Amino acid sequence: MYDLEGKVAVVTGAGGEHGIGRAIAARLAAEGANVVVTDIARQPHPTGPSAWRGLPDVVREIEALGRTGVSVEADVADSTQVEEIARQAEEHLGRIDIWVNNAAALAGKDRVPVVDLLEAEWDHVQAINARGTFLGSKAAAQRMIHQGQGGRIINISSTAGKQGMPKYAAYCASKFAVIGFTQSLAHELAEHRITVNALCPGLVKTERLQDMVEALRPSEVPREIFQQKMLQEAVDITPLGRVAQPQDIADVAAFLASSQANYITGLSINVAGGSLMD
Amino acid sequence: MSSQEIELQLDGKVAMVTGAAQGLGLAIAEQLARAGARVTLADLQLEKAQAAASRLSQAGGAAAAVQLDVTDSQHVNDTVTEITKEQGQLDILVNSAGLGQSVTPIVELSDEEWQRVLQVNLTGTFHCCRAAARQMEIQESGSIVNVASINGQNPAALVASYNVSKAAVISLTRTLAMELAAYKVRVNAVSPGPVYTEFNRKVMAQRCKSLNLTEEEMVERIRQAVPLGRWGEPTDIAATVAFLCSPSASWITGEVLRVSGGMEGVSAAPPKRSR
Repeated sequence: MYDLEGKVAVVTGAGGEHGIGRAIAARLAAEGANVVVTDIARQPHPTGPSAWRGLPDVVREIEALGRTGVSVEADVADSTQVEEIARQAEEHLGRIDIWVNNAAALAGKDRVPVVDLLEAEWDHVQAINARGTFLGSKAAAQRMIHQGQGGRIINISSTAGKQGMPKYAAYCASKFAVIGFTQSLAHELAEHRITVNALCPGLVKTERLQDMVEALRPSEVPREIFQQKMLQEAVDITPLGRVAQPQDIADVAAFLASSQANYITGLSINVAGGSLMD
Repeated sequence: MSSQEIELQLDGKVAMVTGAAQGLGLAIAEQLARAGARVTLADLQLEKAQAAASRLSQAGGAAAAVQLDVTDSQHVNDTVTEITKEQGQLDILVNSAGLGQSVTPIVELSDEEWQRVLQVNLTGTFHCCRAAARQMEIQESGSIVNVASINGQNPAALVASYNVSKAAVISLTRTLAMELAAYKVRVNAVSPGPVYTEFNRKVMAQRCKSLNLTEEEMVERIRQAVPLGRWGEPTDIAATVAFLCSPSASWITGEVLRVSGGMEGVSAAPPKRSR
């Protein structure tokens, strides 16, 4: 549908079996791009099926689509490791046209009221979500400017990047930061025909949901019941009346990555079934 | 992307585009037709719309033209009923019919000019949305895209009626998105930045006069105000409209997508007027 033949994309946080990153990587590959997928070295997800091997399986999926996939284990909060992602992209695939900053901190002890929020938890969330987006964008932009053929930077923010929520202060602050960063960078890179946009999903059904359930559930409420309640609440605030799948977000990322979106930059697009209209 | 590369994501969909005889509306109708939609080009200027429709048909698209005055609600209702009867459904409505305002400060703005712009840009969009929404509710499917403007998000001085009409179109879009969501009908808007169309040239000519600039100087001044450093092409806007109509945007409703090269608006405040 789109014209990504011969383009090289980097997608961070792409190792989750049911994640947004994997869906974006696969969709870009289906549109013709060769893709570098990155994630932290991770243990199999405690609540997921153990057969999933993470990045190697995503690479296999990309190659099944007839494209080249490269995996790099890296922590986006660390500039040396981010440089390594970019270096490997250039070494194996020759260039970088599209960079998707999707990696985000796992939900955990940061999902508490501010009065109980530890500095270390705050810093951890900002390091991955905000600094990681900055470092990835910087590495991408340096190369895209040098290549001189434009480019695409796509940052995954959140509806929580536009609207505060109780127990989400660290997360919301990091996602608000991503939007401000996106707008600033869009201005800086426009003269190089590099567009910078953000996507703002609401709740998406990924394995992260289970982490959120664990982080937010009162100890006396069983996991399944709490998860059901969270999903139902998400449906209730969503006019289109369902919970999002990763593919819903990947569809929009593919559009932004294509030449059809040449004249779009600096946007933070809600991809949330109407749950936020602003 | 060349036209051959666009997958027929809208294959067989029935679309109506208002203001389709020229400018953005025409580019939108062309793009929808290329994506496989059967498009009705609705416009006050019937002959121009007919000529455009036959060009699209010759190029292999499915297109027809009707004369439509969007300010006439009965006429709008009848037209939508007619299309639905003939084609069996209405999947896509794009409201692109719109007017520019004569460049005037509010203190000198006449009742007539205020009404004239709101009547077409806002009330006309309402008429078309309402008529299409009635059919789409029955179908439990459909997509509506309204053409707003960056002026609707960030007003420019001296075109109050236009700004207000587009801000109101954004509010209408969001309201309708909520009302139709249960029927699986999505409603979104695009906010174009500067596009070099007949419409914009007219408004620009007036601004040139008031600022004592030549047209070339004005064109260049606006170009420089766009972060991406160029004027928009009608196809830029059309591509986003086609995306919003497509299944790829199935999780987007109530959204206003700015297609403006990064430009957010023109916020210059004019000096005192000479008396």
